[in-house]
Amino acid sequence: MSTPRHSRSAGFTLVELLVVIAIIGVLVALLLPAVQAAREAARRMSCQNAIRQWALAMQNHHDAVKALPEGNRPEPTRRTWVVYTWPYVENGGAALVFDEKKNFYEAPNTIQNTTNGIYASTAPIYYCASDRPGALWKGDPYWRARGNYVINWGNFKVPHDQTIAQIEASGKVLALAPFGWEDLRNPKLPRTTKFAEFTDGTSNTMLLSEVVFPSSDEVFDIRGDFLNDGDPCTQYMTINTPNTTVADVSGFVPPKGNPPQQYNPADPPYTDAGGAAHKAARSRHPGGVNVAFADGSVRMIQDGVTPVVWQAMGSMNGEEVVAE
Amino acid sequence: MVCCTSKLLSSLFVIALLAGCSSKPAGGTVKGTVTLDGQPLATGRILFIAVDQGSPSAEAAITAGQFETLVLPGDKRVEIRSPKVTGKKKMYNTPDSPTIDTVVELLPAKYNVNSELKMTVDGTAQEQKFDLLSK
Repeated sequence: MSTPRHSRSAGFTLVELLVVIAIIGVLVALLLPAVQAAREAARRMSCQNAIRQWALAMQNHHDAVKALPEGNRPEPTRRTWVVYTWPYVENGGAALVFDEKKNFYEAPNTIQNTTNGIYASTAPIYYCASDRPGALWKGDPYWRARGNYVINWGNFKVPHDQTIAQIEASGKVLALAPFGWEDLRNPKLPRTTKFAEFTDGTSNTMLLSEVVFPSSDEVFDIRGDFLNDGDPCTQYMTINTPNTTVADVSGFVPPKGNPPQQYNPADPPYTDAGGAAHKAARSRHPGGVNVAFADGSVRMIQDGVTPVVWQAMGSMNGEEVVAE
Repeated sequence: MVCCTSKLLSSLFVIALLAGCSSKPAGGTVKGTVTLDGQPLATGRILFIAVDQGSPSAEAAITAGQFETLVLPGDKRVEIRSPKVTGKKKMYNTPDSPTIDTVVELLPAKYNVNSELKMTVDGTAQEQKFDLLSK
């Protein structure tokens, strides 16, 4: 008599199962975006850690040498700030192998079409976890590591439209960045800066921020080529706000017919037809870029920051009031 | 009647939600033409920079004299550039170095570096013509 009822309670009906699966489905759908957001938050923290290490390396360089490293120089051999800070980011091995009598593109620093040169050896600290860790420059045979972290060049192009003398003559306040050239136009005169010159305050002045890589190593897109002193390869400018829709401008125009010259339209905007070169800070993090300030603090600056505030943070002696 | 009211209410709710989502900055589409000595400028870039540096810049590529872009409202300084390839130079000081093109600016400095071009963007769809002279 109770048999049918008993056998029924031994299992679940199709409808019950479907309901349970539907509920689980809804819960997972709610959870998955949260998990992805947590993953991005972790990558952002990893990135903040890396950029902070570079900022501390700059401070240690200042302690040892009594000045910040030069941004970049073409003579007697071409190099950038990265090689000067190697010893301070526990990359002393690279600093030992590096031959300072050779340009960055010559052996043993770079060995053509191989990753055997010291410039092609990568370190985790070069990369933001949200971008493409391990990225190299392979736009030509002189393969070398790219890096997401670049120095603050302020509100100036490479080379700038005016010299310091011309700006002073025009009556504008001269607001210099921590890194640059003595007269803003001659790369043979790299400027070394001391913290004493940061009259805006070290906590109000940016040292480093991020840039993004193109989607493949072979693209002739020099963003992130931070070991190269040419063009604005190793610096970012405050001319445009972070992650701007305005294209980054390169002074390197690859000749037509050279195969790797095509830029990827899916990458953040980039052009070689915009006049004097400059690049904005960019990141793969939603909403902003990580910035290391001269006091060693790291903050995320939002994409929507007004140009006035962004440029004030870019200068070390512009006498601006920074109100975020 | 009850069903209709609830439908109306729910559709209103959805509209309100959608309205909340579209918090795009209120910019105006600026489109127009650029000519050089009466001829459409073949290629180039046009840049709109806020005079007071209070809002981000906007730019567009110029193709066959035409451009179109979204610009935030305000008084803008307009810069137009059109580089021309003049030759080649070596990227590195090695015998087998790849070469890159060297360029010069085709347009006079009064249209870019020391631009005298101005425009007031009011947030509506605007058309603007820039007639440039090479001298």
